[in-house]
Amino acid sequence: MDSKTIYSRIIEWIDSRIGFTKTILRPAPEHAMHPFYWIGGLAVIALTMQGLTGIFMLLYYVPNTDQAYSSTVYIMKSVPLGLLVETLHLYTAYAMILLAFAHMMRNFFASVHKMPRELMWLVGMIMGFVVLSFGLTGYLLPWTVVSKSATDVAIGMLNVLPMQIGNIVKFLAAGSGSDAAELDRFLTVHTVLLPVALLSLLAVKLYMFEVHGSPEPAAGVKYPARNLPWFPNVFLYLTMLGAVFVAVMLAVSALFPLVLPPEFSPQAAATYVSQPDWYFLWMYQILKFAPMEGSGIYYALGGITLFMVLLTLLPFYDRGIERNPASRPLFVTIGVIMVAELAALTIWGYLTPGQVIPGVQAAVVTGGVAVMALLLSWIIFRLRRRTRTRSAGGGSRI
Amino acid sequence: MLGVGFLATMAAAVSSFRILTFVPGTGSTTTTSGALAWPKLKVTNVKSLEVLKPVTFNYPLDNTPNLLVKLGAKAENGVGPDGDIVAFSDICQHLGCFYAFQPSGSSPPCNAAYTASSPVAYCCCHGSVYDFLHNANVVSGPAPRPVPRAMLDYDDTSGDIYVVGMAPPNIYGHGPPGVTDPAQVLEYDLQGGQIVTEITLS
Repeated sequence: MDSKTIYSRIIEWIDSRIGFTKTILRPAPEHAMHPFYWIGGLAVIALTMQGLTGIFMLLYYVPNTDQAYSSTVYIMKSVPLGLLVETLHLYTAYAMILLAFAHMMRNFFASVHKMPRELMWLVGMIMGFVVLSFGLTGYLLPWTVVSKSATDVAIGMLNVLPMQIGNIVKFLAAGSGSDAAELDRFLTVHTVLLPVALLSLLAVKLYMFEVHGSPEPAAGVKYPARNLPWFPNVFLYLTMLGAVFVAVMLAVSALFPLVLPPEFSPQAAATYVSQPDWYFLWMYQILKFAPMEGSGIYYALGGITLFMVLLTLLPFYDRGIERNPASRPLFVTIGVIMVAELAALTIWGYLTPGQVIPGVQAAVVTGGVAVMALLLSWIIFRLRRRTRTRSAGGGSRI
Repeated sequence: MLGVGFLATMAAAVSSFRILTFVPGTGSTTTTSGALAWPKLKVTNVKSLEVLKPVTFNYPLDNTPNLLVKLGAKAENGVGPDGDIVAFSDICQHLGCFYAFQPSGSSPPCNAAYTASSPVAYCCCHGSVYDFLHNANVVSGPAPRPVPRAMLDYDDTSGDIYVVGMAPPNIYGHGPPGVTDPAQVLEYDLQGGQIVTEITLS
């Protein structure tokens, strides 16, 4: 008589057909029990939450220009827990964008984009743009003064694209140009096209993750790393981390419920101070620099595009084998400057709605931030070198 | 080849939204292939206008608002008994935001540091300023060109004000594909909206 229970036999039967324990449920190295290794995992948890809260709202949301706003208000005011779910959808979207950015910067500084994970970086960057597109398209759906104006600005930027590309993208994304077509297309893109795109890309990325495993730390680990079993160690760690994340999201959403701006009408929009959502403020601020006036918009949007393309192609020019941040002053400094500039432009854009920034002021502030970030980076590298010399070649940890 | 064919089809689809055709220079409109000419519609009566109190109305499409205001001082190309009534497209030519009118001495809600020295329009998205006394010329900010004028007809016996067209017809976001320079607009098609048949003020 077999001593195994019926449950373990069922699980073994399934596992021998699917192979969970050889892939996603395999043991993980000890050093991976650290939040830095789960930023992407938290983003996936956020994505799951977005799916659930989004489907909930689709039960009540009415996608036409007359009822988009009132049905959103109905969810907030009349549907049980509607306000919580709607706020959760907004804040989890914010968290997802922050997590995606943190995930990218962590991998930038820890050189995770290097061989053999170049294509993971590439796919991850495309996923990042999909997440931003989620933000852009979802923003329009409540049909508020702010969301409609911001969306019109985004559509307006398409005019800058050369040849007929802008018109073709505009036609595909926003239809014939009427408000009804715009709302209709954006809802479809937000609830069908982008989810399919993001989940497909996620599948591709997880496949590559299964092939390459979690990255070795960039510095200071003794090999070979000790592996921990998936159950209970990895499972408990991830459950705990995920539970804390969900709890924080729920608490913040309950404490600071969202306040909806007024419904869109051209008259209301004209007298309302419209700014894009925070994750687009840095671009908004660049567009308000005086030198970007008139045809300068081509340079502004061209420059932003170039920046994004360069960042996407990072693993194809940052190809050195050195992964320790302490030995990569050039790219670490570039990364520090990038984060500092994005943060500065975001805060500055938030503080100066609808105000044109004179060219000199723009140059002084962006230049000043770059110089300060450069100095900070230089000081840190100097201090590190001194400590390392003093500890006489001891292993450095980052 | 497939790609080129697809692009050409898309471009054709985009440009097929023909509604209005405008012949510059003559100030009149023509009809082509069953399309409509600019409708002439009554906007309001001069007696119901108050100085520096703007009103908005959709024209020529139901989602292209214009801002009509009696400025109280003679304006270039202004109509009415005092030549001070003007109307312009309310959609900013920079990136398509709706802007608000700012009388002299007022500040827009987004920028307390700015005080209008003459009647202007201030767009609170990116700070474009249009001079309403002078054909909505761009005073400052990123807008590349003035907002188009809603051409007004004034009937001095009844005091009625009619709107008879847009000049130039490059209402932001509703133009034909690829045309951004009004000087190059020889034939113009407006798209993305229903043509209004009656004016409602708001």
